[in-house]
Amino acid sequence: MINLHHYLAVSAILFSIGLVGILTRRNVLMILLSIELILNAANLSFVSFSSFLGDLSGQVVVFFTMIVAAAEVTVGLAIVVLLFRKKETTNIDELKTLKW
Amino acid sequence: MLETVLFYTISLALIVFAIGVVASKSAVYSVLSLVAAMCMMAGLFILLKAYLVATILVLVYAGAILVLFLFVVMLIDIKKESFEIRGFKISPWVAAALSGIIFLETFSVIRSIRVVKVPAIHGTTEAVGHLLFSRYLLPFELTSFLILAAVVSVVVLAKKEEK
Repeated sequence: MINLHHYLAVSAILFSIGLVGILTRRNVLMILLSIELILNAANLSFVSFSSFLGDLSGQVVVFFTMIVAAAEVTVGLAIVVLLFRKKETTNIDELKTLKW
Repeated sequence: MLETVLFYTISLALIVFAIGVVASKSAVYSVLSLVAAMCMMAGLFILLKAYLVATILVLVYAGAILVLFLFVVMLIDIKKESFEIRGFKISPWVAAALSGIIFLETFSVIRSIRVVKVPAIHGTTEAVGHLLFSRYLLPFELTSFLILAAVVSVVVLAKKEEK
């Protein structure tokens, strides 16, 4: 019988995979993709809680998360395109003008 | 029984595609495997009886957001990117160990959750829509401001500078 714990475990695995992606990849686009993965792991746990606690509010929250993710992706990709136009790179090791 | 088989199959595919997202060399393959992972996740949502959210996930997420990703990945000439590594670099093993620790902690929290028996709910368009337009009406209207701000900021960021 599949219960809440199975879905939450899948969500935790997805979160860890996304975290590995953020820590190891050096390309800004890949980091954005890993952030998408982590956001969707959170969505999965929201939906599973909503389903197993009998409250639809979790699915409404997932709806809002998707809207925020859409806004984040559009702005993030615009910044990436702008960075590439100015600096000719998407490697975060070369984008260090904000570092001290 | 069918639900168990479906759950394990879809979860396995989801995890494999998620590993493909972070492990593939080319960014195009990463985006494509994220699209596949989103479709698998929509399958999990359907198993959880969240039909509206599953539909939105496929239509908006896999259909629109990731296609936008694909456009940008293809616009940016990856060959120009230099792959030499300077400065601080985290080795994959350290990253895997960190994520493993966080996973184990999350897992111990998950194990402590008690399951209560409740009647099954169906996240149909009607039910979620009722909730969205009654209890969550104000946040729903405020998201339109967020989208508007995103659109304006993207236009401002992406336009060419005037000389």
